[in-house]
Amino acid sequence: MEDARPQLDLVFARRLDRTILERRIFRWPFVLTRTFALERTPPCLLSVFLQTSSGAVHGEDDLRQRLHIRGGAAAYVTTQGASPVHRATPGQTSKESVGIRIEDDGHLEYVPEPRILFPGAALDQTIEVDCAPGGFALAADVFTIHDPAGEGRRFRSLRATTILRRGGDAPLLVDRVDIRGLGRGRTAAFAAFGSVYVLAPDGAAALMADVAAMLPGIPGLYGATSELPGDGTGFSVRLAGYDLRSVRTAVALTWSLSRQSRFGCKPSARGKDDAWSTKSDEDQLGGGSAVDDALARGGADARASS
Amino acid sequence: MIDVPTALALLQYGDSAYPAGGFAFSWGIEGLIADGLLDGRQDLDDFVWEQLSSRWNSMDRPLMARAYRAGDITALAAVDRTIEGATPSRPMREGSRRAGRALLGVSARNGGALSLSYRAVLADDTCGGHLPVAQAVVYRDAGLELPSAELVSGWTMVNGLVSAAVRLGSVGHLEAQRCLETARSGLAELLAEPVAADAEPWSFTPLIDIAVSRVRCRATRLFTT
Repeated sequence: MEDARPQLDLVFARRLDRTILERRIFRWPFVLTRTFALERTPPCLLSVFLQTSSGAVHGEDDLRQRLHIRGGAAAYVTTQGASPVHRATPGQTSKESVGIRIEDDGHLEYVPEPRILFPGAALDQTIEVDCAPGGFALAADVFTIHDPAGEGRRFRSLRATTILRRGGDAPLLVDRVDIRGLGRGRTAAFAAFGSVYVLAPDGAAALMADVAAMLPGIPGLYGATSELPGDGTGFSVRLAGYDLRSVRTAVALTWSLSRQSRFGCKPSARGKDDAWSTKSDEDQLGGGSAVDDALARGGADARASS
Repeated sequence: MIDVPTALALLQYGDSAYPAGGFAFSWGIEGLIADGLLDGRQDLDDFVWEQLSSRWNSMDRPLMARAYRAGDITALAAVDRTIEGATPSRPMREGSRRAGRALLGVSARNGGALSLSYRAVLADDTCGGHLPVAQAVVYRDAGLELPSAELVSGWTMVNGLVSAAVRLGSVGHLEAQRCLETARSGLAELLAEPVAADAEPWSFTPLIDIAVSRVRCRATRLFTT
């Protein structure tokens, strides 16, 4: 009989001035080493870097994750690196679901690295976020395509569903794509696509305006923000990039601005590569991160147009 | 085979002069042109096909069919809520509601019974009245069968996109007719495949979504969307 339990099941709880993992269950292919308290502000925020021993999503995978953030807890959850989604044999579909629950006064930044759809990949992915009205959620979802042979071979299918709830039964948003390719013409010229969803107990409109002002500063990106349906406490950021880097930079920027809006301080360096990290970008951009660079350019553009 | 009275009804409801305000909506065409992503006939052909195949056929059409089959007003309102919750872009939601309510208003003023009932419900509902639901109500009042309702729904969308491109000077009148011919065969291809009654709505029109959502960034514009 198939085991329907999630392979990764984490519960974050507040203990005094720290967030701890109250439940820490994982099994193959997920690997969880130590957690990190990287931030001075807020000191309670716990950073978790998820890894999989397979390093990729395979045709027969059925991966299930559950994250629960209790009141007062704060977490940043990311993955170690971009995940290739490998070919699935005909009739087979790789499945991945992430169920997230955030209680009042809980805070979660869920920023996994992008999915890379290889030729013949077939992925059915669901991200379901139930965030109480007093909780904060940021969830990112990015994919790109890649043919190692450079022959332009396509993935087989991508079905990706994001469901957002703000407590209650009726979803605030059900955002679904179900595609067999990237279409044609101008759309097919873009290499990466993504969305960021933000639910905030307060300050969503000001944060959205800040993100919108900075998007034009990212080279190679076409993006926009918009209020989600409902009570005005959430917004989405839609992103299309001529390369993956531009979309990752936009996600990092949204994440950074969200942290600043919530806690008055940008995230510290993660130690991961390129757009996510402030460290390696200094070499590439001559002193500032891709995010800082975009912030500077976007700010200048915003000032010029005002 | 469509009979003559039905064909005439389709011509009436599919006419761009039908007074439901369709001329006010470009559904992203204006934004794409302004952002340098739509320039000429080939781009227009591509975006019309994308809107047809990856939004209209996968979201508007199945939800219009669901509304068409709705047994009562409550079921209609449920479809409206589904559309509201399946559309992340606020300008897209607002455009859909404005277009739907305008269409419903014309039909109600002409005495459509279901249109009158649903319009009364919408007086207290700020989230309802989306275009696919309004089309289902109005075309039911007009006595159109579901396949005919789908046909006129798809065609009015195509006509609106191409007409916006002409008014914005992206294509000329003759090129527009060639675009319409191309879109006609695409629409026929889609209509030949029925959509399952329980189809889950989806869309993938990222550039169009972004262009519509950027509407408030533009100092001047001609269209609502």
